[in-house]
Amino acid sequence: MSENKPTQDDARDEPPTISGDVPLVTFSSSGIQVPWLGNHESLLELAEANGLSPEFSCRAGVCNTCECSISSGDVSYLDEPLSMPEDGRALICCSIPDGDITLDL
Amino acid sequence: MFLNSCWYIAAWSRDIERALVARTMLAENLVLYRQQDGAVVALEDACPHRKLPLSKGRLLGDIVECGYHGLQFDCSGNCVLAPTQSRIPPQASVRTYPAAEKYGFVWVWMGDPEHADESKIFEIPNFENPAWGKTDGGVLEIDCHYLWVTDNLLDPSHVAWVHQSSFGAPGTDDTPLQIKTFDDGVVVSRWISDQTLPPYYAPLVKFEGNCDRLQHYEVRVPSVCINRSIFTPAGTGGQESELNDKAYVMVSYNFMTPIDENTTTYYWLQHYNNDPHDTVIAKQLNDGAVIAFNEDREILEAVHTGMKNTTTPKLDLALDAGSLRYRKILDGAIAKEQVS
Repeated sequence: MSENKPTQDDARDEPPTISGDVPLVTFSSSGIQVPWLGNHESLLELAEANGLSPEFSCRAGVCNTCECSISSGDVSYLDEPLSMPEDGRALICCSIPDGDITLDL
Repeated sequence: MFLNSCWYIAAWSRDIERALVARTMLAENLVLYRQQDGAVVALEDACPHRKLPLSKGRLLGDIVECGYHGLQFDCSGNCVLAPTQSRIPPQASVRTYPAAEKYGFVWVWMGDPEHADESKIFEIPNFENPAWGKTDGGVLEIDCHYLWVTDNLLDPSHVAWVHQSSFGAPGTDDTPLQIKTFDDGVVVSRWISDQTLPPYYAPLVKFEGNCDRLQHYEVRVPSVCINRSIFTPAGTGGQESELNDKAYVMVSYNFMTPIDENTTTYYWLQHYNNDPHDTVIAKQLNDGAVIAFNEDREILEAVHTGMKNTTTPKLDLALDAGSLRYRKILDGAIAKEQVS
């Protein structure tokens, strides 16, 4: 795992991947970077498993409380959000990474 | 805001006879009566002269006479007599609302009369099936916005707390819910396996031992709420299309007619796949519904008041997913209607 905190510039370019197969999730405001191994239900759960406490309420894609900014990469939704966030924003309670991703958390 | 281009229930047919009945629906005032030939008429409840409700007047044969100066109107809403003068002003008329009767209800079309289409009245499958029983049904007025009721009827979770004395049973709140959305509504459902029969249903069901049960909560625009319960011997559930012979199907139809933004009329009946002639069962089920709906009413009226007077923000939970999706679909339909 990288020792350096990724900068905003790094995050906007291609973030480094640990292994070609597994997406890398970067929580840029916290300086945490972890691989997505598929053993969590959502990005929210991954964040929580890594000591973060993002805001949430419904955990079902219908309230937008967990909406946050993505500085690079994309998500794939498990439940269709009731109110789709704009480009560059995502609901983490009901999504998983679609490749490497950097979230402003 | 209401969805106008729909049929809404104005009354049970049995409540409209040869007398003028006032009804407020979607914040509009109507007067209903039954003609001598049996047809139900619905008119704007306001004399064009000084807007006295026609419901305060008299029904003379098939003519409605205003109680103030005797203007008389026929079922087309046209003034046929203005007794205090020799000529009837041509513009003396009241709005008529298309009315139809089906399933023991009087339905009124609240949109442009040119688009009233009786084939669009909600359909109840098996209504004429002689093997199926039904309750007499009922009506209740609730002091809340009608969407609190539709929310409630898309929410299996509340049963465990609100209806502890009636429908609630262990295992009814853990199993995950499936949510399906359609152009005109939402279904929230789940099969729960291998349960003891709840006390409310045990005497009605035609088998013994444990059951698989389906909870199915559905709302279709504008506010038609269908609550289906299926109980089938344990191990035979999971597929509605291949029901076991002994499966017990109970469908509760709940139709909301908004009176205005703060009040709703709740019409209901229960329909089930056996005991068509058992009036004792029918009465028990109807009485049970009254108890349960009054349990809901107490909660929903307080929710309506609480949500009208918030000083802190509300929050949404996972259990709100079905109702929030439904509200979005209905909002979309209302917005579309506004534009056209």
